[in-house]
Amino acid sequence: MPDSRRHDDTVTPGDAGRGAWKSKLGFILAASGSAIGLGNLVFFASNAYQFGGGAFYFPYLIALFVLGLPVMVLEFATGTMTRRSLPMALRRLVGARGEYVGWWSLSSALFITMYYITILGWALCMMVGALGGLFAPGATAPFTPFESPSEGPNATAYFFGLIVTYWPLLAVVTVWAATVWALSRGTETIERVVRVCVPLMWLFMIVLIIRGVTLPGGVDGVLFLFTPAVDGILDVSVWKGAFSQMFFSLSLGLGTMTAYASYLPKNADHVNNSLLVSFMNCGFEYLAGIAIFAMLFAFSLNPVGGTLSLSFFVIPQGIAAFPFWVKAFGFMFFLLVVLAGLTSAISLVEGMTSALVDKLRVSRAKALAMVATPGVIGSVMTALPFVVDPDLGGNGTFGLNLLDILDHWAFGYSLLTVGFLECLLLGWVLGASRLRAAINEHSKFQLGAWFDVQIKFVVPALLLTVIVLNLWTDLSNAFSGAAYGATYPLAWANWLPTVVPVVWLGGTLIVAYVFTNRPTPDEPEGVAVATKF
Amino acid sequence: MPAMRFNVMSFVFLGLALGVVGPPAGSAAAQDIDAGSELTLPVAGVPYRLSVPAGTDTVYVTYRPGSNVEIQEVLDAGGERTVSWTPLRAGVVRVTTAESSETLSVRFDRTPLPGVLVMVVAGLILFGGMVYALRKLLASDDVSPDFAADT
Repeated sequence: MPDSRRHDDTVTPGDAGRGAWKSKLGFILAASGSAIGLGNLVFFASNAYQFGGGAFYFPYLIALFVLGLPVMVLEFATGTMTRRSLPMALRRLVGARGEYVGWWSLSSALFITMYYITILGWALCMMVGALGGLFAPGATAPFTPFESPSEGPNATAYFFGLIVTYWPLLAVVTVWAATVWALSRGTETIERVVRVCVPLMWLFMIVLIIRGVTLPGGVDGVLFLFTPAVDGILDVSVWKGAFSQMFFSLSLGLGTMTAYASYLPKNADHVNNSLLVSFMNCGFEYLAGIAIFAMLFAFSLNPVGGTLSLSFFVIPQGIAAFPFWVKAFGFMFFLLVVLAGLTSAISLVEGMTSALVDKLRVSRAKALAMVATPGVIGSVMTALPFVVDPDLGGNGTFGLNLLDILDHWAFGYSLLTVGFLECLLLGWVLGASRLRAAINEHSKFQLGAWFDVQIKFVVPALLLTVIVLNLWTDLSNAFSGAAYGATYPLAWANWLPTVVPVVWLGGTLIVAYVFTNRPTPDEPEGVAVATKF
Repeated sequence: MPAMRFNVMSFVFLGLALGVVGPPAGSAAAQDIDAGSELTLPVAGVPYRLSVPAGTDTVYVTYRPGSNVEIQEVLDAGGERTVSWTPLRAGVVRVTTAESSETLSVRFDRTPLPGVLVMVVAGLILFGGMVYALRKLLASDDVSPDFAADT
């Protein structure tokens, strides 16, 4: 092993000017804002419905303690101990292999950011639409079920009518501008934004709950959410659903938590921070589930579907049936979506930005430009309004089909794979016990040897199982001629299902290779595994 | 964070060819369902008559439709315009005939104790944990001049 040693109080050239959180609360708000995103608002409710209501809480809570918390501790510790974002942090701890994983994670996260911001752009348009035509009759779209103006409010028709216009492109650029502004001065502006956005999210969620449970049948909806349907508890898909939900929900494997933690002082308590962020995230999901179930049950709407369909079709349809203040509640719901998404988007962009600053020693403004330029192009592509599928056998427009297929591959695989590789590298190459000793040095709650077992065996085994199951399904479908999206009638864009996964995987692997092999000014070459962090 | 599984066609709203009419016993006149009205949400364990299109032989009732734990009940309509139905359990239910389909919410006949228990336990774990960790974070002995709990 090389002889490079780094000591606790060492300030390396790259440390200067990286920024730091002004307070613990600022960090917690930022990290919880990163974790709480679009998926928390509606996807948990959908999963809970699909996997047995209250019965889903059993695997969900197990997933929190067995998978979510240990990986979050790992990601926080990695950032704080090295004061680096994910690639350079892993390089310092486990060498070039780690850096490669870090860059792959961040470049994949950039693909996710592209379409994530497009969704926020649509949400912004729907928010404005809530004050206009969203809840009015007459919605129409150039797709088979929606050619005639609707007799009553029809959120689905309104949404499809919206995405065939160029307004979402303007909204996408606006969201990118807001994100870049929030990151312009690093932690200083991030903290300023999350101090407003995160409390507002909680406030709006509470208002939605009050509205939901005071609807006729709303309380029954809440009881329906929590009443366990234990019939399928032994079904492997329930457990797979819970473990996937937990990993996605906590924003693990994206490099965001490591980037945020790199701005903490080295004596930060990683265990307590992880507990707080995880409980805030899951607590928010708990409340969101109550609000969604109460609202949808009251109007006999089925809470099954993905984030997009629930956010843009089902919930607005429920709000349209409110007896009063329809526009106000619609506006507030979409504002909540935008706020939750924006705080997550900020962290996604920050992950790559801080990595570029660490690696290339460029200014924050230049790093932001390097991230935002391809980011805006990608977001605009996923918002392109060209109709390729007028019968809605797929998703209608070029942009939405691109988004759907990209999400399937980038989101479905990269987070879990990065989490798996992080555990292998830090658990086996660096050594879980060494990592634990460093974490325990500043933690009130001491991690036991069980943490080593989790990081080295349990979490990798769980993640690998989910990855293999997903891959098995996808490859089986692909070999039988039904790769994801291949059945969509996409006309001239029928190359999307084949090209998108190739571009995503090829692009991210090349980016990771190029950055890993590029020397870093003032950074020691080779493996620089710290013995004392 | 996102998770975008997405199926457009699930949300194309179907025509309302079905109707739930109130409890048969002592009920003089049938009422059409009026979404959003408290009176029109059926209650578990209470018998109802479903009005169905003429000539319908079979009505399928799916409890928790679209989920991994959905349960199906088959009702024999025998070509009549109405069929008797007693909801087996509360929750979201889809009633389907050969011609149409409609989603209904079935209310609980009594407070479900397992549901309340799960709600309380999960809430205690999540919010209890949050409060515990927040108190630790803001503990006065942990506040350093360099890194305050809050500014």
